[in-house]
Amino acid sequence: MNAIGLVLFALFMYVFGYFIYSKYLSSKVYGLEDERKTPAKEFEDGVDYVPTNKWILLGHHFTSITGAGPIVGPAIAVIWGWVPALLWVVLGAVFVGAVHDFGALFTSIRHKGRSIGTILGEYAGERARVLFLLLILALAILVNAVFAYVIALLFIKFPQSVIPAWTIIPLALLFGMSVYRLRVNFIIPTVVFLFLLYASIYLGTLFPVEIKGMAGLLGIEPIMLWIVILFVYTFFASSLPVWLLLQPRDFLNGLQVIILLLLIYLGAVIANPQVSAPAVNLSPEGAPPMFPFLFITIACGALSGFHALVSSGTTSKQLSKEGDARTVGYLGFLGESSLAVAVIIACTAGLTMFASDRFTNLYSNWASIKGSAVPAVVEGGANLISSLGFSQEISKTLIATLIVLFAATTMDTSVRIQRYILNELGSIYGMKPLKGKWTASGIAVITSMALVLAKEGGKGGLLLWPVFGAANQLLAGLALLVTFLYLKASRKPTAPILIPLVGVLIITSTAMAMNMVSNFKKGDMLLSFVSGIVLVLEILIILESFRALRAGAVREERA
Amino acid sequence: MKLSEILKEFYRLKFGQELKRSARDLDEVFMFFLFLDYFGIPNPYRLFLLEAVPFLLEDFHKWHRKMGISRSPLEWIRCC
Repeated sequence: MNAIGLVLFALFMYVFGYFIYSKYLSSKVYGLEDERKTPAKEFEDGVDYVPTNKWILLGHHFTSITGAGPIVGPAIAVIWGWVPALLWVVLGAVFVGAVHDFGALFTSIRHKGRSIGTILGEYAGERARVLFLLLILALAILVNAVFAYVIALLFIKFPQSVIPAWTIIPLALLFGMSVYRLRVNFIIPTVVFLFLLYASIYLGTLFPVEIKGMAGLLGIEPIMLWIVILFVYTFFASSLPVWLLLQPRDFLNGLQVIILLLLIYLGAVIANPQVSAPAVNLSPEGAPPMFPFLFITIACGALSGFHALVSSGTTSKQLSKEGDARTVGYLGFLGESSLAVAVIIACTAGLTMFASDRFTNLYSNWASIKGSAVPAVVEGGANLISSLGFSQEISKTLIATLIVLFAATTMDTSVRIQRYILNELGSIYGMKPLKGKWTASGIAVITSMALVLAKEGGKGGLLLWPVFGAANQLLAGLALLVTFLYLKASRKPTAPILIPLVGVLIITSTAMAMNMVSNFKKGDMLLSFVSGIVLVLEILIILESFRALRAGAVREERA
Repeated sequence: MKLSEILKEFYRLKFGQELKRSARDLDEVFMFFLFLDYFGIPNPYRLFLLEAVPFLLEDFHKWHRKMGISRSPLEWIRCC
């Protein structure tokens, strides 16, 4: 099989999903009505609620949900072979993930653009909402731990990405200010700042930054030093006003996602390398069983609960017609899934373009992939891009930098989310210290840092990835549950939601139970404990949902 | 749609919206101070602030609508 074969398979399924399955969903299941006023029209205020062109909204939604998640997951999961990973990414997206995103968006627009957490509180009570908050809190801590490790690892393996990754911070600040002050055509500042960003990538290639010396002086490993530096930065960055740093960077990052996708796919089609990784490998050395772990290792790209937060928080307030939800929600997810497919191609075909044994070297066993999976994406992606005429070194720096940028933005956002949730829990339970900005940020950063540094050499990092995937899918389960409750209340068919919902609950709980027991046997108390927490949250949520269903908490649909 | 318009909308969604939101929060604090009396808090600067009222009629209307009050809550401001 060649790379083009993979691309065509994905494309074929996406076309089927968008033109046939999502049409079925919108007419027969959700029953979208274009005449119905959307929240954007009903509450139009020029700030939060603005009816927006659906293709632009699609661009915004797609780039907001896509980050480092669909890069890291598939990069690890190809250890079980490329066929299972590709099937889960593509079929999971078409029948589960995109259905979930579309459903969350639809439910939110039918509830005045409110967020999934609030709607859950309405249907299932205050306790369910607190559980929801706790789950997001757990997810945010895991995200920070994992992504801090990923960034630190990339800085060590690709020291040429250090300069561009840090340069974007002042660039984003300047960009934000210049756009705001100049009030001119956006093309000029956008082009200028993109040019500066790429110039810094070139500069980074010329001057790689190594911190071995400094780490040696302090007597710690370089990766630990980077992790500490990253958390110190995140602590301050997440306390700045959102519009100062995060939003301008989001704008620039959004464009990068599109550029990266185009480059990798173009490279894959032009080079069309042979897929030389094994099709299926049922028992890689030291790896947990493919079922259920493959399904939670790839969360973003196949099913991700984090999207429900984006769908229901921001996007739902911008839709000008109900029918647009299909394009924005469903197609937006397929966009993210296509990045996961690009990563699978990079790791299984691009990686072996110039040295046929690279895959076997990097994916020899489960213990080694935590250090080699993400670099494999960089190397494989760089090989593909180099077929477009870029030099190997620049291609590597480009991909490493982009992954760092996506992961760093996610870290900033998730520390911020942690802070908001701690604030909210502080006010629900009347705990004053939690309400403060700096204390909450401090707690957020320290818990995440403790998790990643709990093991020697920051190894807590990627080992937590499957647990992160499970927590993320559990969150998706909750959003599916909310959609299900709403559909049931409005007497609509529920099977396309119920089947994925039950599947998700079975897969995540089996995986967490297995993870807890096997790590306990191995003596890895940390991993066992974290899996246990996610499992307990899951059981509580399932019990709450049953209570909500049985007690007839499902109310009649409000007109 | 022209590229510049697309970028402008993209900018609004990614960035401009949040900026406007922050500005609105500040405006709301200002509004709150302007109508302190309405909340039962004595306002020593009332006379000075009264001068600003005519300039803020439109904003006042938007503000009370956003607060979920459909008609003007103050008798002496007849915006709707």
